[in-house]
Amino acid sequence: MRSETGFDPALYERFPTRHERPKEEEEDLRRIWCKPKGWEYLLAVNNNYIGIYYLGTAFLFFLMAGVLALLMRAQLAAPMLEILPQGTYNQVFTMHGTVMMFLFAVPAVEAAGVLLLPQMLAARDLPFPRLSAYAFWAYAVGGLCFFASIFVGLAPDGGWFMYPPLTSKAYSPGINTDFWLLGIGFIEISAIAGAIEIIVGVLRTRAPGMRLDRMPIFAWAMLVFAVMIVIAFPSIILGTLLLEIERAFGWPFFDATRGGDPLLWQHLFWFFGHPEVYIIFLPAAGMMSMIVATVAGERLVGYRLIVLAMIATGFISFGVWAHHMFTTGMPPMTTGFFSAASMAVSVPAGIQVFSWIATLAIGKPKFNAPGLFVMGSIVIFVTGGLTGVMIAMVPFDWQAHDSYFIVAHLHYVLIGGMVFPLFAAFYYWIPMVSKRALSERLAKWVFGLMFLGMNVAFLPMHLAGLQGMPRRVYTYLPGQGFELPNLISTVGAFMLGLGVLLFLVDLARNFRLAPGEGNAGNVYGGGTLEWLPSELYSTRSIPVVTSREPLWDDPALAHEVEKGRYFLPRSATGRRETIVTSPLLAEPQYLQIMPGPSPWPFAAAIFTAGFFLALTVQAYMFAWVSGVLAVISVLRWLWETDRPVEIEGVDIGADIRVPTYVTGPASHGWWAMVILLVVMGMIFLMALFSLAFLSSNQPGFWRPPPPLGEAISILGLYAVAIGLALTARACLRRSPFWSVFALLLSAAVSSAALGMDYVSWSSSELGPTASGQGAVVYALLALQACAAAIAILMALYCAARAVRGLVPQPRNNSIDLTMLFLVYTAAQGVTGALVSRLVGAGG
Amino acid sequence: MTERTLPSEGWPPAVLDPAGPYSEPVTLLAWVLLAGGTVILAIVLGALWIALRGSPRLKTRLGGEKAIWILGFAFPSVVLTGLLVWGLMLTSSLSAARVPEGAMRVKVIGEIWWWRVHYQDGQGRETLRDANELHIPIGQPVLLELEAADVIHSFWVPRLGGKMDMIPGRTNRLLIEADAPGIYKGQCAEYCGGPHALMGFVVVAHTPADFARWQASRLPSQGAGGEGLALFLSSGCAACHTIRGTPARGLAGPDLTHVGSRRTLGAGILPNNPGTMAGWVADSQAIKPANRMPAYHQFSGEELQALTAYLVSLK
Amino acid sequence: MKSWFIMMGGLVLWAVHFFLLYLLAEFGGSGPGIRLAASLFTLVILGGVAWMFVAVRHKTSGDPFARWRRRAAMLALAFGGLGIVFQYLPILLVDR
Repeated sequence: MRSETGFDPALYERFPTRHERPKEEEEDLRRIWCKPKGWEYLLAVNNNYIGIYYLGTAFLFFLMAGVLALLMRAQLAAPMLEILPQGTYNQVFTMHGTVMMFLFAVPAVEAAGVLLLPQMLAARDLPFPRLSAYAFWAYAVGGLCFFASIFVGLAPDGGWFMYPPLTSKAYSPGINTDFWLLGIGFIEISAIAGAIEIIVGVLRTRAPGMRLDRMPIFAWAMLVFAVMIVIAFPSIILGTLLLEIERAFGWPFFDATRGGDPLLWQHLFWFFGHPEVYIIFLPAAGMMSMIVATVAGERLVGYRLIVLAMIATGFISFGVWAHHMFTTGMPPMTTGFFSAASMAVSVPAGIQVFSWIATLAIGKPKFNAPGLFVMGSIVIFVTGGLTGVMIAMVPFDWQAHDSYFIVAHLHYVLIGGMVFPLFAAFYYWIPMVSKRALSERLAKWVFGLMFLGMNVAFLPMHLAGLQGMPRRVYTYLPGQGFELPNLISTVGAFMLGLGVLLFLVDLARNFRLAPGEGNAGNVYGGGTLEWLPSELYSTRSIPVVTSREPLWDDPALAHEVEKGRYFLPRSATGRRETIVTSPLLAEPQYLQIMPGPSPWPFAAAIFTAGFFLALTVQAYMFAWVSGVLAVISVLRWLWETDRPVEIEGVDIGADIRVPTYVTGPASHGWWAMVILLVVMGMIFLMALFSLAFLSSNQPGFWRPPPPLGEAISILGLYAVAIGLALTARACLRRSPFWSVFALLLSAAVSSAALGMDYVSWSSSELGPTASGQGAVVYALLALQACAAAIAILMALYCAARAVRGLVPQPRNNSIDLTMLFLVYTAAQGVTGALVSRLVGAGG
Repeated sequence: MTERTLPSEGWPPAVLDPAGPYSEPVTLLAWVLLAGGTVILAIVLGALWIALRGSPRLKTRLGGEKAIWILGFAFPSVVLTGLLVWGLMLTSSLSAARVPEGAMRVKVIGEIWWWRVHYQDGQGRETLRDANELHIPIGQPVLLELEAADVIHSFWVPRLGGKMDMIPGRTNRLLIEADAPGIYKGQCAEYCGGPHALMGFVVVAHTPADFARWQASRLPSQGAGGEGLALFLSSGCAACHTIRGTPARGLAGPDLTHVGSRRTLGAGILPNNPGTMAGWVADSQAIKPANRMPAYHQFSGEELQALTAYLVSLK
Repeated sequence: MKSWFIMMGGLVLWAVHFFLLYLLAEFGGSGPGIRLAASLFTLVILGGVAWMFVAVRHKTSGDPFARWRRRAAMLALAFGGLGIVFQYLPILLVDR
């Protein structure tokens, strides 16, 4: 494959260009990508700001959840202590797990992606800066309010896994559980938004010539990470939705006495929950691979092996969810499948570890701060991996499951696999954003305390578990031999805490953040593009990439880039812009015009958080107002985008011309919409699985569904809706109004089909509260109603744009994306109508 | 009595100190895994040491894709295949999917935060009700039918076998067996809210002869209750507790017909003697906060004594 | 799409195999019929792995990315193949 898009690679030979670039170009760039002032910091959308905000907030949650951990360790230092009362302890351990997993780990790696990816790929920004800003603010505001629930004793107390029926209304009548369910809601939203951003960013905004096989490992890691979020998160989105509906309206999804099944929750939770572990681990492993190469001063050994190992981890991690359920009485053969996959998934991890060791072996490893954390991470992670193999063995897991052995295992894996790499990354990349690097001298102490403290805290827990100490206990009885291991663990936990505290001291002394005002530079000698001199607009020009470590291979590159001798040394249209390249070979395709700062993503995030929080405290009026305002804010922010561009083609350097507006499958918007539809499809698929699962586990509660024949007219209507949506795209060439009319009609027909489906079910005398079957069937209808409502909204939005003359012919992205959504809506409707009538029809 | 020792005090760790055929193979597996894991960790540390400090010759050997293939793919694949085969065969042989001939049957129901125990005969008919204590004969497999009355719990006696969850709407089965007489500590392993930490129980294993004697002694209450029984009936205790042979027929709490002979009180958390019994009755909330039994501060000293004396007499 | 499928083919086959086996067991149980179906299906999938291996191996196109993609595909087949064999063991060794 010489070319992917018809672009002639010989054109790359024109770079670096010879001519001196005019001085004004650089000033223009500075002006266009200017620094915010005063309250404008809230409206910033540039990844240099959002990335730092994001990472800082995630780290704040790490510290707060860490304090919760120390409280727990204090309580468990000796038997029958009463430092934390039972109820408080249960809230504290629930929050520790929830905050570490949802508010620290996932956002932290996502933040690292937002901050680092554009620099590594030499893009000016991620493709949807406003979406990043929205995702961040929703997370920050929502997360902080959620955390605050612990201060008023309203924090959830059902464990981070929230198993019903303990979390059902009957056994958790307070709003604590609702805080969890709704609190997790906007974290899900921000994770999905971030994932879309990262997938499109990695695949479409790489520097020209950065083929897939030249992509920095971290970008690969983030790509796999983001795809995994898209597949895994829908399951928890659906799960939280169903549990909240059960609590609020009594639809019995998980209530075994009424035809639901508590195990359904466990499947939904862990189908997300175990991939989640790899979602956290892979980006950190990607950072490790980057740092190891620099620490060793050598190219990574086994680049291809690592890439495939990460992809394999991504796949196989979806086959291990039920290893959290070996003791639920699953048939032995089924447990075997998950045991086998749990073993298989450790092979790619081994490959990565030995690749790192091999890289250190061929190089001259330096024992600097990132180096120490990398080496510590390998030791801790391997230990956790080995206990992971132990508990992948079903009979051993029958003993170890839900004991302190698991607590030890998971902390080894997560601290070795995520926290230590993250600290290595802090030391390694802080010189990129701070005027001063952190202290190497202090780092040795930080590392020493954290490494020692970690092992002292968690090694004895293996023993406690084997002695029979169960997890999630607020105290333990004397005389069982638990005293000594627990006391040692507590000492270790405080050592670990001291190490983190020392790190904070270092941050306070040396971390001087000033995006766009210079930085400490490439102090460790990295070879990838993030170490090019950069300002708020990223690099002055976007280099042609010919290898994996361009800075090592071409010492003149930094200078030439700064002189503007590569792609896009100016703003071609006078606005924020970046080059969109092809997914495999990164050939330049078009110039994307990017939105700048705006109050609307911020407003939308505030109202989204307001909506969820108001729902939690049952202020319904406020919730609906807030929700409507959130929708209006989103529409308002979109309104400014997708505008007609006056200049059709521009020179992006060396007389290479690309268009400024592209529609259809090549456009970045199309990609984002397709990913969003995959998310919606997964949510729907998990709902269909729920229906099948209940029908096979609770057949006694099953009623024959309405006859399939009733679905024929519904199918017909949906087919019409699909036809109309497709017509809308085609007839935009004729007139925007016909096109918009077809869209509106398609949305209306889809809604009518949904109405028929609803009538057919409601006349079958099966109500949503009648049984698990009824609950899931009406949940499917509700999901379809959501899709239909969004479809109507999108069609109306297009109509408004058409009226204002914002729909240029012959092609327009807003119309295209609405068309895609409408087609999806109808396809989802068809699937739901058919499957809900087929499941259990025979019996 | 035939009891050997007190429950293991943490050393050797219960999981590594098996007392029956359903825990012993797992202990062997655990030792092999622990030893193997240590060896592999040593290999990795050795490799890391070579990478950092080794001789150039060794470093070159380690620093290539071939080494990654051997150490990172081939070696783990072989080891893992072996382990997987062993694990699967063990899963098959230990699981309660196949019930051995002559197994005794007991239904255990997890409640917040205690255990209801229903002994059954060979046909699955209920023969005796008890709570928080499970008596079994040694040398005979016991098939437990595990259910939950409210939320999910998990039945775990580390020295006798693995754990099994008790899930509302399902009946899970677990096999245990003890080789020697003794007391084996058990504990709820699935977080069930509130005082989950204090939801324990004991399994008492007897020789067959002792077990027969024990069974024969499980008769309805005969003794004259006197003032203690009167208080029990008039103070609301009987609303939740049953004492067979008396009008007390409550079903919400543990059956107390033989509460005086139990090893523990409060579901495995207190030794059973008149002092702890009085303390539990007067203020169980201070001992096990959030449990379902209210504190009975209203009893005078004499009343508490009479009630305690009666309860302790229920052998 | 083609490039992605070549690169990840072995793993896609693993996924198809895993989920089908799981769904068969979840909704069909572990009787002899199910085991036979799972065995036949495993054979088909392993055949697919072998076919891909041969097809990828014999391609000789010269440009660097295609070469890289091919070698990546071999790796995916190695991971996937191992996983598929692992996945089949419970059918053979676990009796319920």
